[in-house]
Amino acid sequence: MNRLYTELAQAVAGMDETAAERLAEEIVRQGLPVSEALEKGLEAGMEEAGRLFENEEYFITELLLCADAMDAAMKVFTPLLKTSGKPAKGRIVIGTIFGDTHDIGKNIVALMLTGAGFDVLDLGRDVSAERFADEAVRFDADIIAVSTLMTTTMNNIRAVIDVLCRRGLRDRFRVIIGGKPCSKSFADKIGADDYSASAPAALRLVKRIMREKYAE
Amino acid sequence: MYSEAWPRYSQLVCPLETGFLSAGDKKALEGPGLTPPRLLEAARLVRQRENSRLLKLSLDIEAEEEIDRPESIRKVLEIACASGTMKTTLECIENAKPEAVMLKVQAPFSALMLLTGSDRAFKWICSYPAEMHRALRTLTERTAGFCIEAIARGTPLLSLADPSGMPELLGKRRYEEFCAFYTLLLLRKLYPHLEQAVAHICPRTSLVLEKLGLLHAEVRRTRTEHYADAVLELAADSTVRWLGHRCINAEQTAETRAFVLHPDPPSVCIRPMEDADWDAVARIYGDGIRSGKATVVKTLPEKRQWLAAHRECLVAEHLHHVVGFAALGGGAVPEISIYIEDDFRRLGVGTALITRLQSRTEGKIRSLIFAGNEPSIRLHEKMGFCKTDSFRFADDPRPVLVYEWEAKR
Repeated sequence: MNRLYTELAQAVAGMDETAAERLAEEIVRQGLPVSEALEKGLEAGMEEAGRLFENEEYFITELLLCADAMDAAMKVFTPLLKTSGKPAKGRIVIGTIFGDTHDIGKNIVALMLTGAGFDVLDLGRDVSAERFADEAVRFDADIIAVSTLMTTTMNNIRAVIDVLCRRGLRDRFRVIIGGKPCSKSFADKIGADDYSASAPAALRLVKRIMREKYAE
Repeated sequence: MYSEAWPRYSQLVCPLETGFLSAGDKKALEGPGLTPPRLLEAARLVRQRENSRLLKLSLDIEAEEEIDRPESIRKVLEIACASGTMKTTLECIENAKPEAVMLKVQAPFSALMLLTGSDRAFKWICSYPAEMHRALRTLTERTAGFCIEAIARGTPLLSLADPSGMPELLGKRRYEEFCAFYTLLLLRKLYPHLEQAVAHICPRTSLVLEKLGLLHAEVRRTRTEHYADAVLELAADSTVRWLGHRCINAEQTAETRAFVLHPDPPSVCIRPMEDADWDAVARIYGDGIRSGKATVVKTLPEKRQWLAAHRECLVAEHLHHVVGFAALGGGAVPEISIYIEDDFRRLGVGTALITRLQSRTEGKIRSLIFAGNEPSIRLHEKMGFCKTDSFRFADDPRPVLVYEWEAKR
């Protein structure tokens, strides 16, 4: 593997925006495949950042700074991506359920999914059930990811399932949930497909869902 | 916090409360302007729909412009704190009497995050910590000021939450430095004013603070299962200042326990002063100079000049913040200068500093104390200093007492 990819991964995991941009430019200058740089440089770097986050060596500040380093490299690669036509690994619509304005955990999940090469549409916070459904259709999502931090808004997530059922869309999307008060049993109770307890777990869950989808 | 894109009724109630309102309620609340009558009308409607005992108002600090650079934080913050929103809330409290008002307050870190945006705040605590600390201190002081005013106007209950302060996301050290320190500082500033009111801390925060050894809980049996009624009853008890470990929004949970919280004495680490401590030392020394009670010095000296005049300086560090220092001057009998941040006095910090200095000193230490500075006199006498002389400075009429301590041979 070209050492530039390894160095790019290290720059991303090391939160070095300047180095990440410089390495991306060098990769482009040398005519190396951008899709490989994305996978072996950026995704690998964010995967390492995720591992350090799970080990409690990195926290949200470090993850965000890793994402900045990744973005700095992406700015260099993006003009070339349009022509390379690399498909996303999957498309996810994510948001915090209506009634809740907490979004930090959701933001980390979105960040890690993007870093892993998924296309993510972040709807923000206090998102109505109808909007989750509308945007999932518009975005042609594979997965709807719903987050909440509060016990008082947990049951609002059920409304997303209800809207999808009413519109005959339930089987089109996988619905996963997350947030401190949630659990697997709660996901089962409201008819969601699955639950993840943390951002790295959410990434693993999404990867598994997409693997299963392509295997079908 | 509420953008122009939000429906007008959403400017009156927070998203959590919007869920209680019917379509008709929202229609009835439509209209321009965040005026006290409209805020009260919305709060009363939510109280009715929620079947709550409490009239819930929010102490929101809103920025007129986006904070996109760390250097603009303080300027925007000063404007936000001077804005009409907080004053409107205070007017509501006045107009709501005698209804039981619960004032919802964001802890300083979460409040700052609302102003800067979460991503920026998390990054800037790493990249621009000094600016963030200055902003957090300003927010703490302003929030405390408004809360004290709200209590004076009859608010029996402050509900304090720090939803963005999560140690599992920030890491323990950053949580202590940027969240716990300022939350506790705010609570300490409110403490003397809570004789007929109470600060209720969200359990997500109170349980973490307890786990860090910063406060402890005492279980109190209540006469009612309705938690809001119990809280209001406890608010009238002057021995109850802080409550927590239960969600104030879960008013009707059948439970007859309340958790009265008490601050633990701050654990301080005493260590030699480092270069990076100068800003904190200068701030605390500057407060002492401005008080006019601690020293005849009128202006803050230059750092180099001050360091040259002192053979040793120890600082007291609590939650990664310098909250006091003690310095020994030069000369055959070195003079001790000891300064403690206002909110950390009478908590053992001075004792810890002097104890450490004494353990490192052979011979005598001298302290010059103005005759009226009773707290300092008490501290020095407690630490074994004895009065040996008194005099007056040429340009100050106040008597100066000379206290001395000598190490036992």
